Amino acid sequence: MNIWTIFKREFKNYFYSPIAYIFMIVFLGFMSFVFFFFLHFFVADDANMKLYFQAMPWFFTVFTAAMSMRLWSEEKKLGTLELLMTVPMRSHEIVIGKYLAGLSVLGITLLLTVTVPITVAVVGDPDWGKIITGYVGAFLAGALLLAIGAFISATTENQIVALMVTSVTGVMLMALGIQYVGAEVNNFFGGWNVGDFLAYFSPLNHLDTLERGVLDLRDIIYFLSMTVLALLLNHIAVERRKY
Amino acid sequence: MIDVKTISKRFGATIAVDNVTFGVEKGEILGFLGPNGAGKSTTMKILTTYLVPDEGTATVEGFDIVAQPQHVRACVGYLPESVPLYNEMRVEEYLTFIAQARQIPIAERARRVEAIIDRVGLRAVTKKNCGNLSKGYRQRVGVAQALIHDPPVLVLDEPTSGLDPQQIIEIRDLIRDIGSQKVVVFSTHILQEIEAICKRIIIINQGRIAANGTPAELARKVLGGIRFRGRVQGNADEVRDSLARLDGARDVQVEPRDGTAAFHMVFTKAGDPGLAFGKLAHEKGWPVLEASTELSSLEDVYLAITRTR
Repeated sequence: MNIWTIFKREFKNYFYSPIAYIFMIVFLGFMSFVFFFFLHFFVADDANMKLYFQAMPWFFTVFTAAMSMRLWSEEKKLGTLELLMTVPMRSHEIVIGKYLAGLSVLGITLLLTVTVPITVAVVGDPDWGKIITGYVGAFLAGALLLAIGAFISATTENQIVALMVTSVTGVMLMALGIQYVGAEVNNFFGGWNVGDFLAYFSPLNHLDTLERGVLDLRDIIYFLSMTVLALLLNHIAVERRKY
Repeated sequence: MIDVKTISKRFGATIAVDNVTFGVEKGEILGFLGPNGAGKSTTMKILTTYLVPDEGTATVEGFDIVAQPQHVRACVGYLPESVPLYNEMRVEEYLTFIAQARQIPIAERARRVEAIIDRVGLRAVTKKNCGNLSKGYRQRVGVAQALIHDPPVLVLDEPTSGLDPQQIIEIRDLIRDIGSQKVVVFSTHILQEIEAICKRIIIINQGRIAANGTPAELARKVLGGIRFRGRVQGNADEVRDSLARLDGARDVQVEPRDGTAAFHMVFTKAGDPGLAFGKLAHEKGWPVLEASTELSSLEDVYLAITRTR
């Protein structure tokens, strides 16, 4: 019930200001642009859809940062955090309510990109299984990045700082999954396989299987556990004010 | 009822609240007075469970602020120092959100929101965005959100700051009106205000309670007495002699003014100096032109306490 109260306010909050619309439009525009202009969509084959899903999480790093930046830092700035933390609600209910609101906006945006595979289906014959797992992967990656953004937003009262730090964190986390980066990190640590170890924590590594059309439980568990971890950190960041 | 036991709170090296103990009963309006940064707001944040004390604890309506924060929150209405408004929300919408957050049943919600809008005088701005309100209305919306669930305990951090005199009087009347059935703790640095509505005052300085009592008690303790002044018709010398003989009178000064005697004295005994004086004037048959306790007493108390440390 409390989660629902927070969710409703937070969800509406996205659409009070033009920021959500702007970022949604920019994101959708970018995704379509990338697909139709860079990927030679007239070829309309599965390889093309694969590139589409590979590009998406990179765009998500900035998009989710923009979606999460105001979640907590705005409350801190306005002083409304003091209100939320003194009404009879538990902190985790507020953390979850806010997060779900952001996740809904993310989900809606993702739904709006469905026009791309539909267009592909009109002109060609894509593999719908891969498209579905591709979307599952994109949603899970977005959910994780959003949770990280929510946590970072809870540590600052400056939205721009939250946006920057979240974007950079997201890009770095993704980059850890690039083979070249992994090899460089290995080199840096003098042959120790630190890079390979860190690569496991990169969403990129887990998106790979999903893009190939394989739903592996290990990947799902990776995304869910990392998301929960980020939300726990978010909860700790909120509770820390007390002490 | 609020019962605070030896709470302390540090922020890094600075001690914001240092071993503070006090209690507030139902029907009592407690005024928190002190310079900026003295620890008033921190104490209020602890009482409302926004912060946890490093040492000590407190109970609000019998619930422990550390062990039972949810229960405490349910029975407290809180107006923080910076009024917590969501600028993009309309006033009505905001208050409805608060009603939901306060878990007011759905059937009652609209009625409560309407009632508080009338009570606090927000009818003219219900459709306005909170971000577009004047300072006075913002403050009123803040008071409205603190009162919407009709809490037995009210904690108001500088409810009248930045308001014009007319608005101050309105808020003050509201607090006085509400205060008779509730426990009210409020802070201010306007001395007249605290004198006008508080039954009891706590002066906080550098995190410690420097004084706790009724305005008269504080004046007696800190200044050695309450200042009392007036003007009666009569011979100045005779008035001086009689007043000086009054039990508890000190520093009696009388000067003749147009056939009347204007006097000034410090009254050191417990009790109302007005009563003692009134009896004397009646006995002597003096027509009284003016007589009052001096309002500046509290100011002197405040300055005496906050200056010496």
